[in-house]
Amino acid sequence: MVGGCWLMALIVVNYVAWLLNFGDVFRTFLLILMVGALAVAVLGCVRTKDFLALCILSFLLFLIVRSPLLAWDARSIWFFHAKRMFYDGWLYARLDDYGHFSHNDYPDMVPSLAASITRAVNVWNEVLPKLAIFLAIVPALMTLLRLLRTEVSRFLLGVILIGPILIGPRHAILVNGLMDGILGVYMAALMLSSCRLLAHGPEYAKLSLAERLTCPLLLAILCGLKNEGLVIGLFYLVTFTTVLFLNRYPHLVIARFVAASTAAFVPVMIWKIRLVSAHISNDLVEQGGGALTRVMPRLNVHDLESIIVATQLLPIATLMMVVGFWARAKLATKWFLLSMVGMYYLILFGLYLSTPLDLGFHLGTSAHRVIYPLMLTLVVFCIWSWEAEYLRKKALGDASV
Amino acid sequence: MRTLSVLWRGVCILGIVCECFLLGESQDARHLLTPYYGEARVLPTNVEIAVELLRAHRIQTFSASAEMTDDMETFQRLTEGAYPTRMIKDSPYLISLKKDVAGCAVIDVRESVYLLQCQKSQKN
Repeated sequence: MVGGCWLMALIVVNYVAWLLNFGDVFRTFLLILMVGALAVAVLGCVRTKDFLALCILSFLLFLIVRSPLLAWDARSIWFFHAKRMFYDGWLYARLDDYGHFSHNDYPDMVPSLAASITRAVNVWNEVLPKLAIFLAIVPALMTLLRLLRTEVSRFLLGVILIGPILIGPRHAILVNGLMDGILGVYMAALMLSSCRLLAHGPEYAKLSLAERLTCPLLLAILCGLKNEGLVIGLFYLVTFTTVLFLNRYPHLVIARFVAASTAAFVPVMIWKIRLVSAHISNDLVEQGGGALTRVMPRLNVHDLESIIVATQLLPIATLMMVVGFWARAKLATKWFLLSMVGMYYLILFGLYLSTPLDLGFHLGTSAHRVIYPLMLTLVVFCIWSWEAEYLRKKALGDASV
Repeated sequence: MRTLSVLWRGVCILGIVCECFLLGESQDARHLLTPYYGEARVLPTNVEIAVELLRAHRIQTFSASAEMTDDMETFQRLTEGAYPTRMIKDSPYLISLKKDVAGCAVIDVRESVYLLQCQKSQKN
């Protein structure tokens, strides 16, 4: 718990160190601390005899390191950013917009980690930077594993995360260098951590500091992963604050939550401000003029069907119904999760409907990836709520005996 | 129940040992600190050769002929693979799949990829 929390904090500080252009010595020091935090997390697993967590982590490490960077976006965008940071030595070199195809406006939480690793050993190749993926996944995965308490549900989580990687390269989004897989794990961890806070009720202010810091740290990393993370983060802030208000939480608790969550946006905001001053904008925004004129022709059966099928609306709607009607959780928790998922899905739907790119191309290259966080969050929530119900019944059974 | 729990932990430990063994045997893990390792597996052949040529001659900037830049994959892999060597339109160095380009002289060739030096005015 503490190791994972420290690791998240160090990942955020590493990104801030790149944003504020701190030197290599400081960043290498941070990296050493990260390895220390990872060791603490692993030792924590050994101490608690949590061999399943170690098994999942070592398998993930093996899957990450066994192949070089192959995925298109991983090469052209994320790890090209890391390569530029490795050779140029500073983050803002990218503001020259060289290699326009690499979306120089994207935030760089994981590439900055990869750049720190490669600069520490002064080597660039096609495998070493991938260690950043492992370092980034560990804290979110540890958070999820800590929230799930029975071996069966933890094993199920392992199968859900690792199973698709074994099916084929197209499904290996957790380890192939695309940010969507990491975003998925962070979104699921953030949602589940928040649901747990809601389950605690207003008493949650009495939780340990590490537990209270988990959500803001997850949020800070989520926002720095990619632009979708920022959108999810903003929805999260609004939705969770609304839920706290509606459930009459003390104003001090709400104010603390808002302050900590707003602070989580600071690193990515520093980056966005620099982008504005360098006149670099997002490609969808650049070509975004006349979105309505693109939406109208796409309001036909064929295009709508394409979007619905590619964005897997049926499985998502089914999972949402399972959460809404069968999952055992507080109404506030369900409302929070379903409104987050629903709003994010609608945004994605609107994005595809108004895309300036060819619809078939855009759906074919990205839909299966961007839906992953939603699917993972819903599935993990179902497992968590059923587990909670099982443990409650078991406790009642034990009490009656 | 206790036997099951012990058995389960044993399976997990066995899994960890197997994964560590596989990790140790993996060529990629062994070459974790080898500079440029893995390029041959991820870059298209022509791009890999072009990158080798640019590195061998320590060239800072280059341009590429249309047959290389027209294909999106080749263009993007060449741009990111060759970095920190930058692809710039008016560079005197040209990577081409053709030997004869007006105003350019061959500096080096590997397989079918040519590194040419051009006089700017003639190349344009």
